[in-house]
Amino acid sequence: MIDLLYSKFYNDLLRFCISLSHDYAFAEDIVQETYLRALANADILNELPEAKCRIWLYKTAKNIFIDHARRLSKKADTADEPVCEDDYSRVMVQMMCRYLPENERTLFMLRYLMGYNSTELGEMFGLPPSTVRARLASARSRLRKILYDI
Amino acid sequence: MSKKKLIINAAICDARKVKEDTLSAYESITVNSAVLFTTPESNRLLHNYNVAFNCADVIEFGDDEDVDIMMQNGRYVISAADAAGKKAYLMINGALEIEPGAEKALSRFVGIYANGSVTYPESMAPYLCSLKVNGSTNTYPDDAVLLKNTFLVDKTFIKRCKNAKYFARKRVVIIDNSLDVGEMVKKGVMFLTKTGVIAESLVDSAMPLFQDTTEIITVPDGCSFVNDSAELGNALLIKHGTKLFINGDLKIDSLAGDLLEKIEYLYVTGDVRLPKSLEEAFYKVNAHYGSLTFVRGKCIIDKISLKIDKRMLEQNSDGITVIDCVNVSIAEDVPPELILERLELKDCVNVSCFPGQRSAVEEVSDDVVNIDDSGKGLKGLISSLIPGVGNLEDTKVINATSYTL
Repeated sequence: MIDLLYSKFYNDLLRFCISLSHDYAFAEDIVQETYLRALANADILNELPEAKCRIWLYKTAKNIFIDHARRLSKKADTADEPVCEDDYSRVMVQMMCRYLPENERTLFMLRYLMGYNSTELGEMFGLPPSTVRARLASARSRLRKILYDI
Repeated sequence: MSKKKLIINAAICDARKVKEDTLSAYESITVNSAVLFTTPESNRLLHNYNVAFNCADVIEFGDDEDVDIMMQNGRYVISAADAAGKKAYLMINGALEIEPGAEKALSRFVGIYANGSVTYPESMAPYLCSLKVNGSTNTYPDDAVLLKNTFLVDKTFIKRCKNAKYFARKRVVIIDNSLDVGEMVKKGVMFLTKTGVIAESLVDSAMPLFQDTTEIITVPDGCSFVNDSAELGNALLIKHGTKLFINGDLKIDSLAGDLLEKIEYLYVTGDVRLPKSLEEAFYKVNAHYGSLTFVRGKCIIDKISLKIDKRMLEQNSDGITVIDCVNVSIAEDVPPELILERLELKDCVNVSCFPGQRSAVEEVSDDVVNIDDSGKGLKGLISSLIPGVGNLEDTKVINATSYTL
């Protein structure tokens, strides 16, 4: 089965990976790793029809690409960069979060650090946007009292 | 030379391989992170030094355990294809979807921390003991096909659908009245969802596609579905027409009064923000909306840091409304009269100003966490939030998505 998948889909998969990575050598590596994973999962793939195997290959290749991209961004993130006003703002929000109960802390962090609005947070948490706004207002009110006491 | 202090601000802090040399190089270390990874050995070291933790979760791995740390913002799908690979800890800020057949793939993850929503088939529950969710978990029947949270039915779907249940967590939208709804009914399609948004002329024929408990919103024929927040402008009307269902927030500028008159139908799931001067024109539209906020002049939203100076306020004669920003600093050259006349601050975290501006800032602020006129700025505030950190001038601050100590 793997031989068949290799001869049938290798070129298409390589083109797909080039479109993802814009780097021929990197794309070849992703395709190679994808087929290695296919070999490791041969028992599953042998049971699937060809169309599903194709979907499996593409999904796996995409996940491998995401993993690589994430590792690269992780390396970049940890670089020792100069501190700017935004950094202090983020530290401040993180520090404030320690004073909030869990149901408010996550919303407060995603709102102010990651920029999700109330409607998006509502979609994410399965809450009406008005409830998200109410919890954020409660978090702000709680923090006001705490900062007043400090 | 005296040692510096270190503040680490990261979603994930990996201290499994921390070295004594690193810890001893600093007078104190403060770790702000959602998750901290340690080992028994690194734990022992950390406790020997002046290290303070502000972490929601601490995970201790074995000294020899080899685990990858993965972090994803946005949407992430765990499928059967993920089974191969090293053991990993996964952190998601956003939406996690677990596909049927992913049991083996889940065993690869020693822990999953999700800020947001997690959706999985009902039978998968026993495999999710390593899952921690700050947000919502949603299950769907194993025999249902998972669709996007908000699913827009199109001609392709109708060609491909089969006799099956389809699960969309939030809503299913059927608004193109050229769609052959009868074909879906004939094939035996059933949508499991909270809300159905259906064009008026399709409502009767589409009813068998939904459960009795599904909320049905009827929209006029020709209505467009905009699956994002939007700003009312010519481009929006040219692209989507004058009957609009907006799944998000809508911003209306003070110059958009004539466009408002052209709107025939408006449904906004989120917040509508508009200047007070357009209040009457907006009510005439008879819109449905989540909430209504009146803003003044130019609207600045979602900034991490923002500086307001005299020039900015003088250039915006209708004023400036600042909403949901983290840190707003008012320049010293802004007279209090100008603040009172042209500035509004809503739902912000911190506003730094000068003592002479404080009362004006207080007057124009609505639900602001902190107003600081100490002249020390953010550094002063952070110092007061972190006991013992003192002056931040001798402090190294690291800001990263994930950080290895």
